[in-house]
Amino acid sequence: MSAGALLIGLGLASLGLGGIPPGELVSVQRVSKLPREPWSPAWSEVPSHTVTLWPQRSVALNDRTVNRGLGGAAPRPAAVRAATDGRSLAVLLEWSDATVNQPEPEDVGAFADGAALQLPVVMGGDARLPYVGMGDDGAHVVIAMVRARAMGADPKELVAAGPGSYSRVDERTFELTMAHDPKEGRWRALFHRPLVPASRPQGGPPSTRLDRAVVPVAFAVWDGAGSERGGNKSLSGWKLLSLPGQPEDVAWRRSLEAEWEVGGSADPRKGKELTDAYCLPCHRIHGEGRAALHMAPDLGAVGPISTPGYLRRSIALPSESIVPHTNPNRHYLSSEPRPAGGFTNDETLTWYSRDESGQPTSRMPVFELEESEIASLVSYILSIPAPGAGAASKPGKVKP
Amino acid sequence: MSTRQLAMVMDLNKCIGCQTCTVACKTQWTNRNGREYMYWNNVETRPGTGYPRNWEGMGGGFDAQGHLRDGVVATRADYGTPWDFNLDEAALGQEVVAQSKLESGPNWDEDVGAGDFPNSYFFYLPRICNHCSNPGCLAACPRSAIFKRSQDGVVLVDQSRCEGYRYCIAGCPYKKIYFNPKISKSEKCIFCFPRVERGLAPACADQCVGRIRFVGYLDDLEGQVHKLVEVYKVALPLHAEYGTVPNVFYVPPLPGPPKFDAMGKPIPGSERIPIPYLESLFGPGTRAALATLEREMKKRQEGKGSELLDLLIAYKHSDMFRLGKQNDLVQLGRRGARAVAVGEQRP
Repeated sequence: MSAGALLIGLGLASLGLGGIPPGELVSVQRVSKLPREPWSPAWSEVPSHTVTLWPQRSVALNDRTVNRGLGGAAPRPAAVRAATDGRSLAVLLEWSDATVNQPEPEDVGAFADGAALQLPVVMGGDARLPYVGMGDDGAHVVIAMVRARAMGADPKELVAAGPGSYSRVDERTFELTMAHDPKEGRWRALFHRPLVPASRPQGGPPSTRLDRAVVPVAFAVWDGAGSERGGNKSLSGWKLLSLPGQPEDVAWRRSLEAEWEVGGSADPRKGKELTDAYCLPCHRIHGEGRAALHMAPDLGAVGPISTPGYLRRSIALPSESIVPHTNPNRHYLSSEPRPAGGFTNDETLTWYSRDESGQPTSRMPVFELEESEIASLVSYILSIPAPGAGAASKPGKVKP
Repeated sequence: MSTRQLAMVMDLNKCIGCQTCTVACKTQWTNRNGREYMYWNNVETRPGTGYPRNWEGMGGGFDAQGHLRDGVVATRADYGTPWDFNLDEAALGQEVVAQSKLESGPNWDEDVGAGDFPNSYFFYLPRICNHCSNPGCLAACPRSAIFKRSQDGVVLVDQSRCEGYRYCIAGCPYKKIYFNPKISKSEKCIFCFPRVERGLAPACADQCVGRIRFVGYLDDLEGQVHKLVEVYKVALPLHAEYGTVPNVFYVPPLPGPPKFDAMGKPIPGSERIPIPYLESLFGPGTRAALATLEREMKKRQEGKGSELLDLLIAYKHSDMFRLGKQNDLVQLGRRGARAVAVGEQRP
């Protein structure tokens, strides 16, 4: 264990975030002057933390080039460094990518390398963590995103309530830069933001404040060489930034600890039996199993990016855990008319339906399960390895 | 709001491949602002690779269960680049010289066709967005940025929602939606909706020299489109097996003269254009459609009347386009149409 990691473990234990795996925690270094360039030598003073990004497999998209490689795509390790000068936060994401994809305008079929950082809009108290894949109806996220273009980096800031839902924020609170080092074959993306932005968007909600001891954050990376864009990307689960010198929020800390708690009675072996009995009639794992294809989201994708709390809610309260647009048949729900002569989408493969007011209802039944059974299910699902995770851990781009 | 569907029929027996429709659309919409490489209307030679090249191999559309099929986003090279010429100098008497490397282009295999002399064959296939009833582009977009208007069935991209992901390009089996690199969004044929809303046919149809195009509502029982598609059933969809329910239909080309044998004598009962090839494009209704055409042509040859042939001959624009509440909208001519457009004159 490196000295840096030891330091992180000790520091965070003192903050009382016990019970949350150390791999989910990123300490934020207090510095007097924040580096403003991604490859500034000052970053070597800031300890780096490994975060794994997983190929997005929860939402199926239709690009043949991407999908052919998705089954065997390996996870992408990235290094995160975070620093604060008490007024602003700077987060540096670094990942390996031998090819620079910065398309020229004429390359209409080419896609750009990029990275994003995601924060919950509402934090503190008993706020629930949003769905890690771009938030959900009940808990929105802010996403700061930067893509590489031949004519200069293209930064964006978005507010999202689930995949496919985001709107752009015109007055950005983040400053974003990305730069590639050809010798190292690595990109760095720098996300810089005041803890409390000075300006408030016209008539909009208050900007998310980061002047708190714990800030959840998630990352995404796009590799243009693999035709990655939009939902085809690699993403991390939620990680927790620990900011020094910021006010403590006990309720928030407890809420986050509960989010990561699997439950002492969890038995992964019992969980496997329960999964087989309750889940596999509808859900496949890595595309395999007895369930009809596309009947329900694939469970092989969820473990690495989910918190135990998210899995618990998905099992106990399916209709409150619907992520919009994950439905491959989303363009035809049972309440909508079908065109004459068109191929009909199979009704049984519709993951959720909407009533007249637009309220979605999941097709997943509410099972009568005890807490210990749910805990066992959660621990088993968390243990399902992602495909390619056992493969060579050499970092690299998604193979086309 | 009631649901209506505008549709277009193209009679491939009349298409001469002059590309006037292509130029009409190009000068109307795609000669500027990042759309220069796009041909929302293109005319390709069949058999041939089409535009973008090999688009039929690029996936998209739906499988038999109704699931979106994976597709690919074409590269810039697949679309080809029109060549530059020294036209300014040529106007002053210089020899016309190409300024670009002549390797591939949007219509590279024009007039090549298939078969060996004297039995070679080809025909022209003009293509626009089919404004499908089950669009692959609409189904593919994860941001629901593509929508279909209920008043006329025109399929459009909401530019405020599009983020340039291009899943729509992968999802369209006809590859009739394009990426505009200047604005990083997808764009496509809009069925000239600013024109059709004023009772004018789309530019491609209006300019067609061969008068091959018919435009109207599928539910207009008195209209040509309805009669050709639903009554006489001579107008057929292209690649109906893609599952998108296209609303552009084709009258298939008659197979042409018989083949010639080695001595140069016609082989009775033979077909120059193989019917199985036409069926691969226009489906199982092809034979019946061709038989109907031949039957109606025979009636005319014998001096009897034929409504179908009168329809297909298309004597006037008012016989081809039915867009307004009354037919007289399309007889305004250029000045009248302009007066309507600027609100000076009610039809």
